[in-house]
Amino acid sequence: MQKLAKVFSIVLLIFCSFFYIASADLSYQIPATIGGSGNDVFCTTPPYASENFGSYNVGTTGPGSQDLVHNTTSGTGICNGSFEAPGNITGNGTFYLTLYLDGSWSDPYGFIEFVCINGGDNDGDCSVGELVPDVGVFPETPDGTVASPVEFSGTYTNDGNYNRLVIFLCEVDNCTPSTTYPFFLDIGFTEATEEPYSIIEPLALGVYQSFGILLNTTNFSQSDASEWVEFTIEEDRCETLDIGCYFQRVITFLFYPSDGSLNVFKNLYQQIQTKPPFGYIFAILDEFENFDASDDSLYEIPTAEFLQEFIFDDVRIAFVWLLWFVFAVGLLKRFKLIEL
Amino acid sequence: MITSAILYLLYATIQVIISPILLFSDVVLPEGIANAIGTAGMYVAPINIFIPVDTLVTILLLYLQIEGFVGLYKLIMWGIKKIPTIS
Repeated sequence: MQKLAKVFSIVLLIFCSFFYIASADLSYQIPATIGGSGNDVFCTTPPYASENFGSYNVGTTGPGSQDLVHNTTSGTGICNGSFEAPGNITGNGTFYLTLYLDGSWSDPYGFIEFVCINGGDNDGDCSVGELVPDVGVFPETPDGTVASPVEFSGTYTNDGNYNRLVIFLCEVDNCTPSTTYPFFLDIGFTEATEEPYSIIEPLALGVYQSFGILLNTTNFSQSDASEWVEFTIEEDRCETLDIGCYFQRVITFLFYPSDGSLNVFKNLYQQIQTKPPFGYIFAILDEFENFDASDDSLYEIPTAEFLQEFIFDDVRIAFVWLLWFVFAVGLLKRFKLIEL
Repeated sequence: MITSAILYLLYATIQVIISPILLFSDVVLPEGIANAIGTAGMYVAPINIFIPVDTLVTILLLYLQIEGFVGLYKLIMWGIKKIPTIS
């Protein structure tokens, strides 16, 4: 009887573990911010954003959603550039904003202003309050540079249906964009009941899009550097009693390496790159990448122009081809004789 | 989980082996060497009109990188062969 109980316990444990793993959300987590109303759903993609410093990165989702609207003229006439939340914002809520900045913002300090604009006739009022930090000037660090990323949050009240929350970016002194504004914008609106910065929602199904827009240096107009990145969020939970799916999840859980376990090697490689003795090799190779034989000459070899044009230029091109050919042959021989 | 654990174990092993190296301060190439490489381009520039020195340098760097990869591969294989039951 005792033996039977032991076997039963083990089987039960295995069974429970199996179903726990199968039902766990093992998919790649893309931080998604879901809020606002209707189609106002934003999905941020930090990896994309971090590789595209100098643009802002906002995602929209679902058919019928609207992109972040960029205006070259403001509603108030104070600032030249503004960004407008897509769609209608209904009800009260909390918004948050993360700005990633580089040193270009250090002087003059940037100014950011959140304004809720009344959408038109027969609409209720709207206002912005409780902005954190309470002033729109980017905070500076003790060494005088601007801290980055800068996180803002605030609340808005809204009684209308077509009011719009607009974010203005400008300089402190004259509120007129006159310098480059290198940043990307990561903006989302949350429901009034949610706390800012705690809006990582379970992934919703659908196709998300993200795009980056480089800002023009003078009027915030959109350049052609936009790039669309589409990715689909697949179903991440098994159907009930879908044994095949359960096994797939279990095998994935057991054998699929995590991002973290792979990234440690990347970090290790980066560490080695900066430390002796390997660091010197990387440093010299880096320097050689800056080697430019077509740079300004320290001296000149007198050559007749016609000789240069009709003989040496052609000979040089032949040399280049010859060198690459010899390299290719050498490479082939090297791999034929390689001892691994 | 299993693959991740193996990778973390491998990472920890490598980390222990190279930990003395990580205690060194970051490499800063002596200014003279950096200047020398930068100035070399200006000396070579006139010759580059006749002989494609920039192509030669590119090929040389490629060759060094390939040899580096071959060496790294050999090193990894040497390490794997040290694992018992693997010959």
